[in-house]
Amino acid sequence: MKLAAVLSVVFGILVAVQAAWSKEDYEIFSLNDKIQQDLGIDTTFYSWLELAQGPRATTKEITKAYRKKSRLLHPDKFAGATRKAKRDAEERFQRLSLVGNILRDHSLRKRYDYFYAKGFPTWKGTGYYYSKYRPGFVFTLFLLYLIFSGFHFVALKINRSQDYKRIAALKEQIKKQAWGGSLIPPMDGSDRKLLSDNGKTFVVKPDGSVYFVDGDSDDALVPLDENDINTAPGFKDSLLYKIPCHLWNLTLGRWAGKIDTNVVFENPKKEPEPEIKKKTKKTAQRGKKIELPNGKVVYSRPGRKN
Amino acid sequence: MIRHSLNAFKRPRGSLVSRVPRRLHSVIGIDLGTTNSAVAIVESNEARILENEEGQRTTPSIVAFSKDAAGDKTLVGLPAKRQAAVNPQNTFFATKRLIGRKYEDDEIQKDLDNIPYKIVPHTNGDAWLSTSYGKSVSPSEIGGLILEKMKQVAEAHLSQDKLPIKHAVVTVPAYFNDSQRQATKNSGKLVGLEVLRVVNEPTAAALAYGIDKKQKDGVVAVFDLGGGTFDISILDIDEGVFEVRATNGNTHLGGEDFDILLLNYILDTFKAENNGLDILKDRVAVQRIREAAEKCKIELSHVKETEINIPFITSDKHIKIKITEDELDEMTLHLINKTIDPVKRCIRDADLKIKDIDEVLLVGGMTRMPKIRKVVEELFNKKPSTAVNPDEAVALGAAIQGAVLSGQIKNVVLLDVTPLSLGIETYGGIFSPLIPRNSAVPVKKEQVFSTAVDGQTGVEIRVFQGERSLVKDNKLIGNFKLSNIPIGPKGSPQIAVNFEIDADGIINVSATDKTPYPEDLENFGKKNTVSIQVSGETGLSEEEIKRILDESTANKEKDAEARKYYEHASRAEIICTDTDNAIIQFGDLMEQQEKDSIGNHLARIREKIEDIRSGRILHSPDILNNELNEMQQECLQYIQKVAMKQRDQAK
Repeated sequence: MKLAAVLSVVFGILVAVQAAWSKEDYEIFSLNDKIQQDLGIDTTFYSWLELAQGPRATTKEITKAYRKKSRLLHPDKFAGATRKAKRDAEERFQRLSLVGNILRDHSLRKRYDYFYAKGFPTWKGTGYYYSKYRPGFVFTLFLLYLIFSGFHFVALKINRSQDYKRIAALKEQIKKQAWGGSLIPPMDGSDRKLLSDNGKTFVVKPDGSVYFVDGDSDDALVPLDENDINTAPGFKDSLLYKIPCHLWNLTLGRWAGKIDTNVVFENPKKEPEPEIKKKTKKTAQRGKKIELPNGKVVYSRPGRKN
Repeated sequence: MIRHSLNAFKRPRGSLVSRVPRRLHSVIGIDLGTTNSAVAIVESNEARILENEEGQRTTPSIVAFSKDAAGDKTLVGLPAKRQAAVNPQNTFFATKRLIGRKYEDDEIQKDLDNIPYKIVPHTNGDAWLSTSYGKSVSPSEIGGLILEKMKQVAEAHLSQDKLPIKHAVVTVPAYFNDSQRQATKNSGKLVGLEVLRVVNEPTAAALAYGIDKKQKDGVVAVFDLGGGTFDISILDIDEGVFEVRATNGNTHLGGEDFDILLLNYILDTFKAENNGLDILKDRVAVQRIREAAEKCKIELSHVKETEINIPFITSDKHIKIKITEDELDEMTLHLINKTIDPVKRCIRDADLKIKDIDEVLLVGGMTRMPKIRKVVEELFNKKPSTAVNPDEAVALGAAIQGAVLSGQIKNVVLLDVTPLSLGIETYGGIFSPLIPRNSAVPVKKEQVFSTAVDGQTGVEIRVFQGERSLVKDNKLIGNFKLSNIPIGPKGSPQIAVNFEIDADGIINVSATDKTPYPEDLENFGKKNTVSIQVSGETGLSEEEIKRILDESTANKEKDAEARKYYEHASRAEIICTDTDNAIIQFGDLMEQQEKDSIGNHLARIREKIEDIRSGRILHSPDILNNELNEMQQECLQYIQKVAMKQRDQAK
């Protein structure tokens, strides 16, 4: 619930507020885009007409400049050129005459001057938006990735320390019960077995360590130690590291070798495990080899005294 | 024209364009008028009108066909006009009023009764012409024959190294719509003449006026009332830039309407004087009256009163009617007043006041009428300029524009506008304009279309031109069907349709699809192929154009031969005139018998010239030459005798 609320706030910021541009505004924007595409990103209507005074130019000056430019760019001047050059000239002139129309029309010029002063919104696939309101798709994804990773990391840390406390408390409780309420181990130095309420069996060693009995047999003892839990997860535990690694493993990693994202944590308090003596392998004493009439070979049981 | 194209991506364009123009051949300028046409060319930076073989600076826009034992014959210009009275059904004049129009148009329906030739609907609904022997011809073809004639006039004047002429600039009334312009452009195509540009007549006239360095820059209004159309344009001339501010007009108002009015007046008067005798059915008689009416109208521009005198109009009846200038003015006032509204609208569209207009130019033969000059003067509060010749300015302007296109003239540029709004039909037959009238051309507008229901795969767009708010009152330019739209929810496909008007005022429509095919479709990843289908396209089909082109090449040799005859006839006429002059000069000293003998020769030769010109008998040049030689020798003899006599007297 909390996460959903946070997310909706995040999206609320990211989703652009589409301004209600008029039809004329749209025409100005698309014309501006096309001119910049053609003549460079710094081109404005005024700079194209070579009006150094920009929005302060008078209509008379604009008309003069527009006609001067028309004389150069009119398709008639390209009548003998190649088909493509003719086409380009025609398209450029079409834009020029639109620029002339906009700058010489009082209300349209006011709109253009507004955008000239405040900056133009840019085309984002479905409409014109001001850039500051709308980051791109990739950026949004990256931001979300950072935020999720952060939340995940905090949650992971809290979970770990909770687990640590829970296991420590459980251990104390079991020890207490097993030793009959005292904190001193029984004098006889024997292991104490304890059946908890939920049917699980624990073994408490005289040194105070607690083991969980996995399964029915007594020999599968799992040590119960809160120090096995890493209460200070590192970078490699975070999604910040894991997501890219997973993506790598899913894609290029298939061929270039996968990254192992399993984190191995060594219990700092654990005593070095007593070296288990290697059991000397008993060489099986085989009995007498008997070949049966059907071809099978059997051995007699060793050490069996009949 | 309607272009089918699909540009999937827009490429960024480089900022450098190669500006090395290929040298074009001479580009002639042709004023393709309703009643008269003219041709001009720019040589050493000076535009001049080229005279035809009859020595006239304008050529009647008349084409006549005839069919006899000798085969089909086509006459263009003066020869066609000369035989109009004897062949009215096959003599096509004022066909510019029909070009690019539908048979059902009101203007065509109104004209049906007023003309001696037959107008028929073509298979696509266009107004075509039909000869008395059932051959059908398009108005574009007639235009083509006239253009070809003008080309030949020009070629006769040019030195060999500039031949042949392949390119022309042709003028059209500014208020012509897309199909009328397209049909005019096709006219050139039909005779193998590439029309580089279609220029508006008033704009061309302003160009002819403004190119003169003596004229100062400023706002100029061009009032163009020609044979068939009326245009008003307001231009701003500024250091070689001719920027049209606004244009308006009426494509069916001109001298022809005045003639028809006068024709009906004469017919009515004749009927009243002859106890209801109706000669309307007599096509020859009507044609004679028509010619007399035109002549009378022209005369009344110079004199206060004239007489229409047609003897033996039918059996023993004659027409003899006196008519004064005031009577004509009164009769035609409603036509003249039709020009006032467009002028006012044009000034308003140009965002100007009447006092802002520095000069008023009058173009077109009709502006010679004193009453029209007076109306214009009152309208603009200013005496019209006399700087341009109303009959020639348009052709001169066309030639100047031709020189601009060929690179001969630099530092002149025409910024013209589209006269009519271009738009599409929206829900309920409403006309929704995309490109408003008086937008500078070339111009392009993009409109994004989408689907209205889920899974729709086609969108139909109907394009119209006009100023009325309902599409049914405007002219349909074309029907476009976008099909193969990828299936998707309504409103999701994005089809950008570009509406473009080029410098000729001709419309192009192309579509670009912005939606890719969805992933679950088999076409996923392929280029989207939304296509435009055009129906209701006007004009000639490709086969028709090919047929006409073939015919015209076949006729070329025949025409060239016929031209040879005309040239001989013209030469003979010059010699005849010289002989006339000789008789006037030395006649007093000649014997009466000598004068009669020369007179006989002259009469015989003149008859032959007339035969050749009207196409009745094509006398061989040898016969004509023999006759001429005989006459010249005889004449020389007599003149020598006269000289001897003079010497004797002097002694």
